[in-house]
Amino acid sequence: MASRQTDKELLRAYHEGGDVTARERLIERYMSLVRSLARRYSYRGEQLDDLVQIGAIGLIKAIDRFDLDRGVELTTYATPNIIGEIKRHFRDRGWSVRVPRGLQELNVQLSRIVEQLTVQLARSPTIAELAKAANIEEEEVLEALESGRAYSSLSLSVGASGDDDEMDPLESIGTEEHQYEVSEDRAVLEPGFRVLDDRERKILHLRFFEGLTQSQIAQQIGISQMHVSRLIRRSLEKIRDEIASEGLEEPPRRAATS
Amino acid sequence: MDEIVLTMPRNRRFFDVAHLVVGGLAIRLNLTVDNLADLQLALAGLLPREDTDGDVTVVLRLDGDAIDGRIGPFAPGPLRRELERDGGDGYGTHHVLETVFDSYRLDEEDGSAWVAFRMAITPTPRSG
Repeated sequence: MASRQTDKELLRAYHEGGDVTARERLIERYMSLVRSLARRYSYRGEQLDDLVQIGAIGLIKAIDRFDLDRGVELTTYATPNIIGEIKRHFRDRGWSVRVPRGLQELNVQLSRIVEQLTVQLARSPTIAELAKAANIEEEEVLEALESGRAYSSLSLSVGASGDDDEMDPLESIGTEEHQYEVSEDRAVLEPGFRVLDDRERKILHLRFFEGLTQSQIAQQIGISQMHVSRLIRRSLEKIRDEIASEGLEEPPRRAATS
Repeated sequence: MDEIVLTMPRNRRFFDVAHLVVGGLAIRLNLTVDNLADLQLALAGLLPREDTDGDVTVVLRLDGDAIDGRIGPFAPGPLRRELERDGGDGYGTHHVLETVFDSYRLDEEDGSAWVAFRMAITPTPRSG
């Protein structure tokens, strides 16, 4: 028998000779890598086998897209592709199932364009400007912006695991802890305010006390305007829910007032 | 004077319609994304109030370089007390409305309350 072919030989056979058997052998060879990487994410409530299947798609994409002229090993190239595919799966699960994939991706694309145009124009862009930059109709911009509202608030939460930062679907929040101290003590004491984390408090403070726009907050915090918008909405909902749950809402309307 | 009047059941499933209407208005008036987000934030804070029954109405009137709006009806007591209690503190309804609108007030009529607001539009010329 011939000695075991190297990755490069198999890749060359597939890419230059069209040998699909070589491709299959590469897939088999690196399925253990896929399983290993998938295991890292299996605690998130997904079946390991399902994650392995999803990771395998990333492996296949890596094999298909591998550039023989690049001086990297297949494992080096495949690992981020596999992880990326698994993360993409989790990202998609954060959305309402009614939001089509294309719309989700357009939402993410627009989020980046908003950032770029905000810097370029030194103000928040209009929908027409977004449409022009994305080369789509204004109504499509609106539809994509609205689709962001369907995003699960749960998926925006940063969990206890530090790994959750990289799982943020729309952008990396960053690993730096926001040790923000609210200057107004009275705000800390305000009912419901304590249910917010440091970043939420900071964003609300910047918006409602400092008067910064969402775009300005986005630039200061280092996340997108659309993410700021979602976080403000979620934070206010949390405050309202907390107030309601603590029974701090006013009693039911009295029959008569003078 | 152009005016949009949207009356819908006081039910979360219909609130997205209001958000879409505001979005359509943003396109027509060439509002910035920040302006649109602020308007929608105010709607999100007011529409889900469950202190009264029946339909809820959103009125948006274009008045030169401003949008004059009205949202209601609400039960006057709880809303008035909430707005007064929040005055200057915290991040309640008062603070949201005070921040996103140039001015707002609570109108009470016939036993119900309406939030009336004015939001200046920063003219943003359309290119092309």
